Amino acid sequence: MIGSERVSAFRRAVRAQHEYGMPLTMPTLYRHAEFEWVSKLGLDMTYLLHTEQEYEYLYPLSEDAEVVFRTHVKSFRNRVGMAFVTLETEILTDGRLCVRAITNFVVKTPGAGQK
Amino acid sequence: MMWTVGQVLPPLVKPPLSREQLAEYAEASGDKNPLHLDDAVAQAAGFPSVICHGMISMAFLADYARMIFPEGSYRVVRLKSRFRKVAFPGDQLTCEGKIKTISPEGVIALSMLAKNQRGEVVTEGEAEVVSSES
Repeated sequence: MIGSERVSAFRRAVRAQHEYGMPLTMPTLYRHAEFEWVSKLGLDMTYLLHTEQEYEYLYPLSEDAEVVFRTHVKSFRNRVGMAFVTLETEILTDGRLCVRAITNFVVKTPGAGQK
Repeated sequence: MMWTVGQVLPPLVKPPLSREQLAEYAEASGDKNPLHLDDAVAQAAGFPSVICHGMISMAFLADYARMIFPEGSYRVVRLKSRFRKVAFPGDQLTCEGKIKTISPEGVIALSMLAKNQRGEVVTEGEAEVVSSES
């Protein structure tokens, strides 16, 4: 459960002036598994660059509901010392898909730029 | 309210970014990457100081979308950001946007930019919005 205090803290942290309910970017709370995937792929987070973020809002996410989330690798490409990773996280409450998050990272891989 | 394609929307000036905000956001979001919190780590990575979470700029654009399309009257169905430039504590971002398209079904797409005080684009954004009645 997210809880009203956490919502308020998030709203304060992003200095929301016009968002009165749950901030639209609050689903970022459920993206931490994405970093675990980056490690599983053998990539060094020190060289990670977050390039794009997308959210699809399918159903209202309630601060009182129990949240379940699942993350998978949508695509992974290695090209000339850089890894391009797209991860998708689905956030559900009561078995209903509420938010889909799509995250793009670029990670420099060891030996990049060296012969 | 009538919207037209190409309509330029009023800007939103956000409060200057600060180290305090980075600490608050790290706590609130769970993103405690030391690049945002520890100068030594940021400098070792090649930055002059800690850098702001890109997601804070996305949150600013979300706030902007809500300013233009208030909750209750509209629903945001999609929000997307591309992080172009790093922002630092002390930078002040201004959000601006325009109506990109309006579909026959009434989906309003807007394009947005968060620019720093030097006019540089920090983050590009897009949002899709529908009337709450739809």
